[in-house]
Amino acid sequence: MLNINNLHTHIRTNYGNVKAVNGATFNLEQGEILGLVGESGCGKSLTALSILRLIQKPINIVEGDIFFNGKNLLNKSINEMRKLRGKEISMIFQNPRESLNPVFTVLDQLINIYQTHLGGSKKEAYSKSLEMLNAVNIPDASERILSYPHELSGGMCQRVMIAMALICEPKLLIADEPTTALDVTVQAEVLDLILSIVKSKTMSCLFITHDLGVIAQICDRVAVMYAGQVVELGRVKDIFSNPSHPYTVGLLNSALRADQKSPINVIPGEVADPTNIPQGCSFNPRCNKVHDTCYKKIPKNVNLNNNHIVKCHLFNNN
Amino acid sequence: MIEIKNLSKTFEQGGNFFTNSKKIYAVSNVSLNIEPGNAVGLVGESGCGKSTFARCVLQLIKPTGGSVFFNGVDLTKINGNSLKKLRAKFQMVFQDPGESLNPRMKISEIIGEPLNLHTNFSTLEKRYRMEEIMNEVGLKTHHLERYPHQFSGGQQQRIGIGRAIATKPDFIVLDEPTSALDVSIRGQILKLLQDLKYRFNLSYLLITHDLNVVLNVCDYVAVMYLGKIVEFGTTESIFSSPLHPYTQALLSSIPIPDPMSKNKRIKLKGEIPSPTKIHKICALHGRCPVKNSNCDSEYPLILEKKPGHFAACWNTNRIITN
Repeated sequence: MLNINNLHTHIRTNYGNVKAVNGATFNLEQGEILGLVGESGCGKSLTALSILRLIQKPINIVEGDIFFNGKNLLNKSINEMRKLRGKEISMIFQNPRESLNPVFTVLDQLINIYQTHLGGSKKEAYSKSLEMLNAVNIPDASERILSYPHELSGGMCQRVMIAMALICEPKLLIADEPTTALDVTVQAEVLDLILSIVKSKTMSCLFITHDLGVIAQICDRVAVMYAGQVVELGRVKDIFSNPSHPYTVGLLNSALRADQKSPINVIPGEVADPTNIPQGCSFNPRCNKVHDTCYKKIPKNVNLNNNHIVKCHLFNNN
Repeated sequence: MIEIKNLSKTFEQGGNFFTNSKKIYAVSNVSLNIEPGNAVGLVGESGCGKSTFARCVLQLIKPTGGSVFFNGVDLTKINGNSLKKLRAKFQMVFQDPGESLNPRMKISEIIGEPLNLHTNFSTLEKRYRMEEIMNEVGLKTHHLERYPHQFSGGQQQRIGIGRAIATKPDFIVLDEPTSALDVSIRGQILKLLQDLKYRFNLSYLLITHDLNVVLNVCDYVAVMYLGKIVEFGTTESIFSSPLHPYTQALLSSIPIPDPMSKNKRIKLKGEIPSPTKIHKICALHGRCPVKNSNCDSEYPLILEKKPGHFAACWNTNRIITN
């Protein structure tokens, strides 16, 4: 239902062109949760913002296509996009308290979204809002609905954000690190909630995170991003049992596990500088399996099996 | 080496001529010992008093009760000047490396400041020591001439650690040293901390909400809930057989990076209760999945349930199944 094809989102700065998203390609099927994982600065969030076209001038989509239900979002007018946001595609942002408006009550914010997209009377909007707050397990929803964001805890604010994102029953939900600011116990509850809602309504969800534990728990497929490109894409089971790109291997090895003590492994070096992406494969300065071709040619996507796609010269020969 | 006895901190909030101020019991009656060369992890949810506790231990805020003994000296009793001299021996690494380094100072000034305060080094000796520190934390000596914004997050945290070890301390408090960093960088910093600990026989008090970090760095774990330590023991015994229901819930909530592992999660209902009341009974009372009639009576004392493993719970022998 969502097809992203060779997306390039660049930022023009005084220091040069920052190639934040540099040829990302992936797709999202109906009813699945796709995890988008990578280090900070690899272009995860900007990919999400590009889908909703929530970007402004020095940032530009230079090249590529974003097909949503067969239509290219990049060809839509500003008004058409405005109608789409919140109704067809909605987004949960990372920091819940900063993404809610502090001067309006929860109720005002929910009603605003509902009436903007679906119209209807205020009474109808109120009952729908209450229903949503109950659906996201907010205790005493009828009282809480009149609170301001500062009166709610972090986990509670995140639930209100989820309720806002889902009130118009969108077809695609983009969750940008929705649990990073939360404690583990609250994180577990919010993850359960997102999983149950997505599965019961056969929505699709693009779940952005840097926590591989979260990916393993809720996602169906995962896309690993490095320096603005998707370097490996496949089912969670395949990727965790058989990681193929050296970056994915390094990422999985550096994840700490709470159920067993393991030596700390690290990926040497630093994240690629997006103003100055290395020639050839962008991972070559940090790769432990680097060879001559990696410095010359950009690797192509190789389908290993079951749509397990990897972008690496190690597999290009076969 | 560090002996903390019944440490408490109460904050007062609001209050004027007409109304009484509200008291917030951030830390209440916490006792903890840290031996030389040991790392103790302090875990708990946000708002449970971890950071307040750490700041009280270092006397960055004055505790309202209890005492902290550092090599036999009570830090809460001595005067400002003697405390200042002792500070060379206990240091702190802060959470956000970008915000804890002064943007207008060069790295040589940042790392040189503790040396100016605590040593009588000549310019040459100071330069030599700074280069030594840069090597110890894995940075280059020419980095001394740069400013903090020229470094990545991981490198900035290395500078923060360099500043803390400059005066050759015995004890370092690490307040969430890796929570602002990426997975791959986090590993590098944890490795560095482990190295330094073995090389200089340092003791750590590591505050974190990331239990994975504790498992890999710490020898002992203290679990904090609402200003009190509810469980204490060696890392192995806490992770393999947690006794307190709160610890069990906390451990079961960590997502494990393996799609095959389907461990059952223990759920706690509701939110953390308000710290503005003194809890006469167990503070987990309203959320606990295994509470019984004992729990209504009084606050459980922290007792040794197994050799070296302490817990504050009335029914620690019951294992939760759901």
